Amino acid sequence: MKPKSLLFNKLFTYTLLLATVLLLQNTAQAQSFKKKKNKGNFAEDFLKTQWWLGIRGGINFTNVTPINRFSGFNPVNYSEESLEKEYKSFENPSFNIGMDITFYHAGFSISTFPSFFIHNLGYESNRLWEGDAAADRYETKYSVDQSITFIDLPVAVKYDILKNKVRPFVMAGAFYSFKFAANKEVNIQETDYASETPQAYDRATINLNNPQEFNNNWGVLGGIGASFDFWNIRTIIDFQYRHSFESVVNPAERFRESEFSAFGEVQDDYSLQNYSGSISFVFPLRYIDSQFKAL
Amino acid sequence: MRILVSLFLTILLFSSCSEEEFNPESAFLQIYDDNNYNVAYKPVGLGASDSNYFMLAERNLDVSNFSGINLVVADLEGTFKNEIQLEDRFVAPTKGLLKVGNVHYFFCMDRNTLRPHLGIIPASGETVEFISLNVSASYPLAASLSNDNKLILLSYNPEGQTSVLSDIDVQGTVVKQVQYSIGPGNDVLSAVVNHFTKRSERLPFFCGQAPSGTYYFNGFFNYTLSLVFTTFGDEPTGVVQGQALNAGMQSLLPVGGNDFAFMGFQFSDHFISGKTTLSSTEISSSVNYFSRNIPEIAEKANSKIVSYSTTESDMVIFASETEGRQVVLYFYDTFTGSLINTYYIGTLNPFTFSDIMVFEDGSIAVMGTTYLAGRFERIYLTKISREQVLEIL
Repeated sequence: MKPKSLLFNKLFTYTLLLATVLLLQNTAQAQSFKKKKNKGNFAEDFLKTQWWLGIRGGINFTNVTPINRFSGFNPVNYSEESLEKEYKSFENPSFNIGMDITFYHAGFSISTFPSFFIHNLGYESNRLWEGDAAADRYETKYSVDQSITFIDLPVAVKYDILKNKVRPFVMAGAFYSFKFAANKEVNIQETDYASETPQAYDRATINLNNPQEFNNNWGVLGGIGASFDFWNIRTIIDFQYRHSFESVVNPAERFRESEFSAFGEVQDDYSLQNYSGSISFVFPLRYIDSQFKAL
Repeated sequence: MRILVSLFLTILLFSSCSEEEFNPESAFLQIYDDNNYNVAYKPVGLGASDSNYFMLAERNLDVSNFSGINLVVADLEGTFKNEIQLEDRFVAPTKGLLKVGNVHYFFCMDRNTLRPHLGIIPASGETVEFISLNVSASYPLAASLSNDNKLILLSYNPEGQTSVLSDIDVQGTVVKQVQYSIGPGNDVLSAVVNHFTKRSERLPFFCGQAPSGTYYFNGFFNYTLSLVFTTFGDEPTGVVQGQALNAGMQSLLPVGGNDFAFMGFQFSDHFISGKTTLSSTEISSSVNYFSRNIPEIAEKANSKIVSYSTTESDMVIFASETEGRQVVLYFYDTFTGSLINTYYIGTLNPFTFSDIMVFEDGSIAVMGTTYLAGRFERIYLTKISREQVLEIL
């Protein structure tokens, strides 16, 4: 990635975050102003405003979109396209677990879900060597399972479509994710045509942590869900889609000498897309008595 | 609400530390793959200009047991640019590329006439030119640069049974030359041919010039593979004798005065000295310098010594390959002569060593071969940035 592009990314990220901070501060001020204005009607105000705190977990599936393709091999006399990786699409399940913090006011909520968010993705690449004779043929296949764990900090605005016991909602927001850990497993399968009949065998499986190969991530999210209130506990089920626009791969590490690059396995530049289904159990933080039920 | 505001201020703080500037030319590992099952690359010399890496490699020929010559050119990020297969009458390139100005040089021979030729690679890397040398038929064994940027060639004259040391300018004119008998009645022709044709029987020929002006070569002299010092006189000024073909010096680098860093071998054992005074006017034996065996160095492995400096110390890097088929770099302090640290290249697939070079910015490039799928011998080029080297040290 060129320095100019890095600068743009930083500026864009800062601008987005600053805008969000300013928006939140303005909302806080407006809330404060509104409280003063409605001082005389405490009960009504109380019912319209609430903080919720709880735990959250779920499963997710990730797909990647290649941005720039790379290979650990420099082809001298064949096409680079034959080295392109084939990615799995939303196939490897994973999980996310963390907290749910929500500020509710008058049908709208601002939520954040600080979580450990694991993305599992996979891809395959193939190589073929051939000679003049039929027996002069040899193939390798690299099957890669990559796991990336982020500390995920999303912010989303929710709108409750109905305000009944069951409250369906829609949500939209953005997230910033800090790279926390990563692990890559490469299975190498080889096929020998020594007797012209292909004989396949596993040569090796290499499993190593590779957090250095990734950067932090950011993107936008949207989703739908529903809340259910029982006693003073609110159960929330939601389905979200997250979309990153930029590569999560650290280009500085791609061709650096490592256990993986030593046998020609390097990462493409790719962005992450993710579907997740989660459940939260949250508790109201403001005082509740028998008169004022959970909102 | 304050919690959320604090949260985002924290994000802002962290994100400001998250990205780093990256120069793709600073460090990489590239493997150059050919999809032909029956092709093997054996690189012998690495060079670099302002825009290219040059990798000189041997290739098998159908018409000769000697190796033909390929030139692989890559850009400064190590990405493949082009490959030139040189005419198959030119065979047996010397190890290493010699850089004078922006031009790289190597020696090879015409397989029909056995006459040495000078190969010239311009900075563009698009062509290779040859100049026939006006010397007697001889096998080019090793080459180096002299102190005044002339080319030194060590060759073997099978007719006169002599080791030939030549000082040659970049136009291919022989400025001075001397020949020393390998020993009356001695026949090393089969050893020389095997050196070129069998990996298991390659011999550690090298040559150069010490800062004092004395020339040296590791070649056949007086029935042994010996380190010979000479001022182009009728007789050598000094000799470090080997033991037939079974012991002697493997690689050597002057580090000041009469001090040398060297790697030697004694049958399958190897020894290293970061700094030892060698007399260029006396006769001694390589076994005298055998201090401690380094069993991990592979038998008949290529090796090369280059100088390296940091703000804190001057050192030499011994590059070779291990029995486990990794490339090993030993860093030795040239003031104390002691080992500073060791670095390995290669894990799953075997890695061999061919050449190493140090750049002005303190980065290092290492070239050799790796065996894809354990069987296809292909060139690799790896660059280690100065920052990585300082981390190693």
